[in-house]
Amino acid sequence: MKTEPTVRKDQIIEAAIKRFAHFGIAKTSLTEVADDLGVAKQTLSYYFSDKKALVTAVVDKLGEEYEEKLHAEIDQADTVEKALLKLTEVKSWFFEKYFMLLTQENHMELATAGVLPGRRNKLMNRELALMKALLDQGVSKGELRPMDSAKKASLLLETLYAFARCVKDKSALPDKEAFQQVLTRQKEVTRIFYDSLKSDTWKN
Amino acid sequence: MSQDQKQEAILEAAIRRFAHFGVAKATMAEIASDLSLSKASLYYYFPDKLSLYAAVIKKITSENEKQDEEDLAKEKDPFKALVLYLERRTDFIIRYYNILEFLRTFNPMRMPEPLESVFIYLKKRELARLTSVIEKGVSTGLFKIKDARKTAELLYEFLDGFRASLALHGANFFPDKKQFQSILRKEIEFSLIFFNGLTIKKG
Repeated sequence: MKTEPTVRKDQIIEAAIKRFAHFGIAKTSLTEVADDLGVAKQTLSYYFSDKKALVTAVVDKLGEEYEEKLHAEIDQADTVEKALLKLTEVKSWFFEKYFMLLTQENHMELATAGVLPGRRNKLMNRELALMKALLDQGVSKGELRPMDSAKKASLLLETLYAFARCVKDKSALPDKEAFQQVLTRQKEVTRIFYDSLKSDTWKN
Repeated sequence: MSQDQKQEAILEAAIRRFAHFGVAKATMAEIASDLSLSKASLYYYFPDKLSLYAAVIKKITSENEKQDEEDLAKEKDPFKALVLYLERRTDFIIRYYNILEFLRTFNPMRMPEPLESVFIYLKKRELARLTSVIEKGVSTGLFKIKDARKTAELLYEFLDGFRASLALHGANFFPDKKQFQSILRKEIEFSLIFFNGLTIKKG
């Protein structure tokens, strides 16, 4: 008979996030997560049958955290320009915070199981929808020129991802400065992009 | 790149890896790949992880050596010099905790080569620093002892044992800064009582 363990599911997920975010998935063992919580490894298996199950729960939790933060920040922006720049900032904040975890999506077991790529694609689709909605909003308010918003949104999003990819390719262990540099560039390109879509661009 | 520059680049990459992942989780293959170096050429410079680790310890302990010793020499008051010495030591441990943590895997009485020779040097350095601190009290006639070296050895051994008994148990990779500061406070408290015991009472 299984007895109710002394830690809650969300405490395990929090402890796992801390380990995964610092060491990445490959270098973290369930035993270490259990040790951090001061419980036996068996206690973890009450909730999570294996590492894959725990990683899945962690990735879902982080996805929620990211989207919550994204919406909270964007809701505060009164123009599409500010909203786009906020989106860029939140993206970069999240990328830096969970770099070790996010760059291990090719971690063999999980990649073949489709856990990470599947979730990544879904998240990107939601980001795309959000960005398209922002552009549409700008058009209907007269802030932006009429455009094919789906196409433009995917272009900008892919550009932002490409910049992030550069950090990852340059170093497996980037420093704060490397992230900062990329954010600066991402914001710059977002601004250029915005300026070219602005409704008053061609008036002067 | 010259051989020396290459060796230096390897040490820097190793420090980054060790400091982030801890020594146990960092691999030679990753360090080589950070530098776009083949594993074979990394092993040419450091035949195994232990010799790389020993070289890293040597590098990080010598980084501030000159500055620390100059600052210590400038401080004439033995009590203040003692506090300075202990504070700098704690700063170092906090800064490189994730690298130093690996030392726990060894029995301090039986360190493997090449770590052993690094530690013989470091122990000598610590003793020399403590001795110089105590000599400040002896030369000004503040302390009622003759052999500063012997007194330094006594204090050193006590602090050593004291730290061992307070050592953070278990594999805590994310230790709280406060833990080190509380150890430092106790070290300072004890050492000052010890120094007071050496002081010639006035009146």
